[in-house]
Amino acid sequence: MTGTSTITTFARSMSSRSALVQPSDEEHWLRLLDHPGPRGVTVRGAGAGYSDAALNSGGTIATTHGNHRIRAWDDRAGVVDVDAGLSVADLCAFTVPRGWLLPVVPGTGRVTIGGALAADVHGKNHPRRGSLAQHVVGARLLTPGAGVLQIGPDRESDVFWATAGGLGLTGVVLATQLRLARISTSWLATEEHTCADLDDVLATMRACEPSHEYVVAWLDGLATGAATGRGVVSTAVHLTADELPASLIGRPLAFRSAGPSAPLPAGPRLIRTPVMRAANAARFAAARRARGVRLKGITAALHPLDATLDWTAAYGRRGLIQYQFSVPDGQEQVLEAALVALSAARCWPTLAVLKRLGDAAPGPLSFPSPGWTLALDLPTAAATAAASVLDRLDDLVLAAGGRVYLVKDSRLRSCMVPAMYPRLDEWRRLRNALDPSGVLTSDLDRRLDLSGRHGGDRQC
Amino acid sequence: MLNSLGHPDTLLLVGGTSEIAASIAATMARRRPLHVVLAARPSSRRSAAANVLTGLGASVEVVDFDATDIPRALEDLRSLLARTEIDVAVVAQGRLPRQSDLENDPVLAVETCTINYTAAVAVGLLLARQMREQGHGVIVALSSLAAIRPRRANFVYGSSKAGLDAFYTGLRDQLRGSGVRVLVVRPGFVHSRMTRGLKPAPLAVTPQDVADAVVAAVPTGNGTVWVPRAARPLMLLVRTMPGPVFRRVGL
Repeated sequence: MTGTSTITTFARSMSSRSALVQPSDEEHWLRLLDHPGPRGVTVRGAGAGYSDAALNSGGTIATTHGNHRIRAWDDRAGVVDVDAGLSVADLCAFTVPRGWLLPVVPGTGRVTIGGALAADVHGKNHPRRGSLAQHVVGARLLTPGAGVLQIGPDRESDVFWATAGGLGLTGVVLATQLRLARISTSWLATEEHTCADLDDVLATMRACEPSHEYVVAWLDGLATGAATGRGVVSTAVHLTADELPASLIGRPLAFRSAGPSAPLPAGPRLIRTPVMRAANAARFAAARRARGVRLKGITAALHPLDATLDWTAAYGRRGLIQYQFSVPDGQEQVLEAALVALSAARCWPTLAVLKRLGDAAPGPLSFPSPGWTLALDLPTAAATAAASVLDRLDDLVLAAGGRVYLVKDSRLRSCMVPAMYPRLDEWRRLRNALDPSGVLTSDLDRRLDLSGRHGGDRQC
Repeated sequence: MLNSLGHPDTLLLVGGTSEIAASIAATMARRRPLHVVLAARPSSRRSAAANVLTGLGASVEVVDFDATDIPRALEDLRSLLARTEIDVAVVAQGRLPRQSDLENDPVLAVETCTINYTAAVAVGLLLARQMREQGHGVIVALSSLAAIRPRRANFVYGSSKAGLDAFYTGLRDQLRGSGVRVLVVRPGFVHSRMTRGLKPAPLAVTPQDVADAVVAAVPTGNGTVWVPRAARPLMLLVRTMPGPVFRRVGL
């Protein structure tokens, strides 16, 4: 193996030394899985994850950068066959001008299709469309123990559902066939509603859900007291061709992706509480002024953080962590408790995003389940001081019947995973049959002992 | 793995009956589930230390480690490291006999140096190799302010800690960029079993003070941990003091 390099997560809060390889074809992948080395292999896509799912300390990281073709396109059925390393944004750039869109678009277009499937990502329309895996027709999975498998919801379905949300530990997804949704324009009508407190946000989201494809709320993580959880609910619906204003009639299916983001070195920590307080107040005030409908393209409406600037640099050397959890309907008090507990600990969320979740997908490790999901960005240093607060929130979330999103996690106690994901054992059995000698691993796998091979049977 | 907030999953204490090591383990175990490996000579003290940690919810494993039998101790540590991935290792074995006893008994002096320094070198090299291979890890070496400038009152002990300090400072530089970090901890006089009956020096601290400083440094530290912090400027003064002045101050 050649030299090693330090690989850092997108959120900059974790890093480790690994050997990097970039297999170019299926044979290369097969060879790699046959000779994995003592610390195993981790498959890495865009590296856009907040967690250590794509880190492998002391081992090998194999990126899918070399695999990003569109392999086949059926424009009548709207089914596209793509390499795992193709990014969501690049897929959109191909399909949107043809009048098709991925029904589930995650919050960033930078992730790869392989990574999105491994996390079984959801979008701002989960109650309507479910998670990404529910739009996958089939996938080609290279496993260390069972060779190459063609999997899908109706073929090797248990392997397929173990792979959707399986965090790259069941095999290497080489190709994926996705069923897209028809769009007649690439423009969205977006609206913003300011809400004075969390109850207002929840009621507004519920009210918007039946009539809007996309619903998401931004919460002011620094608001306290009666204003706790105040925020802005954003909705978006796809415009039909006859709804287009005259200025856009000539380009109904225009698409512009955010462009490449150059990673910046960590700068001084610009994200500080007074700065955030001012920014949040400005965000709130701007939303209050901006009444009515605004037209936005797909990138602006659905990938607002994909600016060309690498914003994580503003968190300084230690970066940020993201804490994302779900709770069922009727357990909304946990959302408020999280905001209150973190502000009491002076660990202010720099970004708080609330979404609705609908029915769960069949994947044993798939995250979404009906209710709410709150994603909180926290500066790592502040979160370190508030580590026990986060542990107590995990307990609250679990008691409420919720769970923490593993692909975002960087700090959960491993003992919480079997309780939050009660089908973990079923997933482990499937996984271990596909990879009996434990070739596929990751720092996330070691830390949470997902595969059950790392002796992590700790008691909480 | 250390998580993003610097919490380890597994902790190895070499010299597991040291009060400082026990405080470090207890402080970490109180926060979170933890697997602790106590490497020490079989004794009632080791069992007691294990019981305390088990009572705090940690899972505890014991490994025989006798710093005066280095080949054997290394073999046991090696087989431990082959089966358990260690996130944080604390090198804490140490002894502090009375200086007058050491002066009268060169064999005791050599044994003290073996435990405090030679064994620490062997353990450090073993840990460094294993952690370099796993691509991550934190080594915490317990040095002492006595390592900074030999005093006539405890220069034998001081020389052994000076050796350890130099070794781990060099090891830290060698491991830079490997994913493995080394913390060299320099506490002042520590109120503990080891120092019972001795007159406390200025800047005296408790094992818990040392543990708190270590636990705070584990997430990102890669350097020297002074306990208390005020020791750092003071020791700069001590280090640069002319000999005659130093002797007269009679520290």
